[in-house]
Amino acid sequence: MRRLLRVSSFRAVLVYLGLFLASTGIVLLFLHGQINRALTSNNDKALWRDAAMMNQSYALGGLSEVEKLVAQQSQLSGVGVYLLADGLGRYIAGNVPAFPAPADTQMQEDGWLHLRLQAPFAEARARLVRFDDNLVLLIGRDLSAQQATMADLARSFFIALLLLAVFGVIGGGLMGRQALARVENINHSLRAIISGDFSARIAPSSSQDELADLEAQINQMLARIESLMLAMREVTDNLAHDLRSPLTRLRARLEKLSLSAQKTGQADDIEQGLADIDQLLSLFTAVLNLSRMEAGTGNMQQQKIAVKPLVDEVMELYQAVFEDAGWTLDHVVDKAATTAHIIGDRHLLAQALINLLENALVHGVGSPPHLTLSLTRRDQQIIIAVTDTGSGVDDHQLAHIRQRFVRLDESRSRPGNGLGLSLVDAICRRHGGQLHLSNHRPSGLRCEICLMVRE
Amino acid sequence: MRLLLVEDDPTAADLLIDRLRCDGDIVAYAENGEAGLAQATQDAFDVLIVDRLMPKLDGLTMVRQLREQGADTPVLFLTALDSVDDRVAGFAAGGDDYLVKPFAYEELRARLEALMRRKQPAQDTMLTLADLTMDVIARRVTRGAHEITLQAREFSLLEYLLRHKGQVVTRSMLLENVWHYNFDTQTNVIDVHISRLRNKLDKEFSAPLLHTLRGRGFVLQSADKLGDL
Repeated sequence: MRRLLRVSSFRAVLVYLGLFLASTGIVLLFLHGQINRALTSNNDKALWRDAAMMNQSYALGGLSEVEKLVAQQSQLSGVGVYLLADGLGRYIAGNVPAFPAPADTQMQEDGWLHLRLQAPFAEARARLVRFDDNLVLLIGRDLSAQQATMADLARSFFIALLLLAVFGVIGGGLMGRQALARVENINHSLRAIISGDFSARIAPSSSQDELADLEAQINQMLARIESLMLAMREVTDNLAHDLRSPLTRLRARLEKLSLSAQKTGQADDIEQGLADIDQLLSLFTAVLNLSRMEAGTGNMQQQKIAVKPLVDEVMELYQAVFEDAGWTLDHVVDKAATTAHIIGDRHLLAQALINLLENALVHGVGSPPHLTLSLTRRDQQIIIAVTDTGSGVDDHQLAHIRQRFVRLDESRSRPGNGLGLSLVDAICRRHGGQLHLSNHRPSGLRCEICLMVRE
Repeated sequence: MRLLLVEDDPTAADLLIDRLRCDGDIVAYAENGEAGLAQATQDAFDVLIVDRLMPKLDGLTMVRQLREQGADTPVLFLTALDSVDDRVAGFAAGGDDYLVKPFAYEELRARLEALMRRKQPAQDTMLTLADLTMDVIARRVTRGAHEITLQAREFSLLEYLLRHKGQVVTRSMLLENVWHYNFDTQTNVIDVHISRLRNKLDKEFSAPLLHTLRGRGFVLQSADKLGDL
């Protein structure tokens, strides 16, 4: 339900339904008043006719004629209320025995009275007709039938509104669910693409509406991206092959020369040449790996990996290196993080962590040099953090150090090619995670690899 | 060693063959996969060195067909394709080792030696070299009368060295086979572990067993036999 409430079409239906119900309610209220007024007006007309008939009979035959007519009308079962009385209010004829008490009598506009009567009547709308000083007629209409009709009508109106609301919510829910399913379909395909499957497409829906147009557009865009990616992959693969072949020959020639160069004293130069080739190659490999990772063209293993053993293994490999370099180490594991698993590529993640450790080893030497490797869990995230006690990084440079070829020592004399953090960043993003960099107080750099936990 | 090199770049092949012959190997050459497959089925070789991208028949298909015919000659892929996928595909096709171009000759040499001697039974559980003994089942290492206490990874490292005793093993071979990572590191991480192992193994004894060969790698061997390497 909460998911449905986030769907825009369902929310639109709900808002529209609310407005529609409110306006319908107002219309029905108005209609109810109009019908009530029409019924009252009809009653009043009948009563006036009745009163005119009484007046006429008094004019023709005096008291006896009126008394006869009142008695006759009172006999008829119906809504008529009659009381013929003398000048002192004493009963002469009619179906009401006496005038109601003043408390049960309410004066209304234009001489109308609203009366509360004894059974069989309930409430009545009535007038007084005065024939002479000694003869008065109370003539009225019982209201209970009209009131019952109006109450029935109000109940019907209310039920109609309720049905409208129920059908509206159900209809809106169905529409929302359908829209949600189709958007979910699009999202599903896009997620596959984000994780590197560029051949994924949105399954076409049967309807021909604006969403279908959108799906077709996205599919076209995906086809374009895929062809660009394939072209890019072909270029990098060809480049890799074409560059490696001459380098292989060059290296073999230099090695051959170095065998005979022992005598001529050029061995050192040739050794240096070989080292230069290897450095060139390692830079080239790093650029290629980074490009593949950022472009998502290199296929990545999608295995379930337990994070703690992976971190332990890397730490076990590097602990000795740090200790021999005079560092002290802390390896902190949050209890909730010990069983966490993620989906991804073990080699890539190990490489990311190793890059961070080697970075710390070269750039994060503090006094005393100390490294904290921590594994913590925060909700659905697992965080592998490497913190050193070095001088850290200026705040304004924090945002830049993950960019390609950015090196903070101006002379570029320290080892490294400026691609290490870029690769870590790309590996994290390829796994749907992030690399967070921050300065640690009082001094040091803190690098966090944040990944989503998969149960 | 009898070797077959299957490689479509004749210049690179010539350079490599020269070097291998200098070291006393007998090297046959095929310039594409089809010719390579024919030669490999006709003659007996100790190790096949196979490029991947070749005309007529690529290296992967060649090795797959060779394996289907029942040949178990060790295969080392020597290729410009360096991604993890390529590597996995190489092993899946029946390759035994994978080296990316360009390579240091010593790296290739060490891997060829390892492949050739791989045929020795790996299920030995008592490994020895001079007065060094490793009981793989009981996880016990002794040198002379002294027991040497090793951590788990040090034990694996020594076991690998003992199973390749007398052979040069390179840093990347150790990283691949002991730690199971196949990427290069920027630091001397393997050297640090070797030097720690050497401390436990050789420090108290007059005859060192674990040696570093500059520019080549490491070897576990009695000092008096080092001259052969």
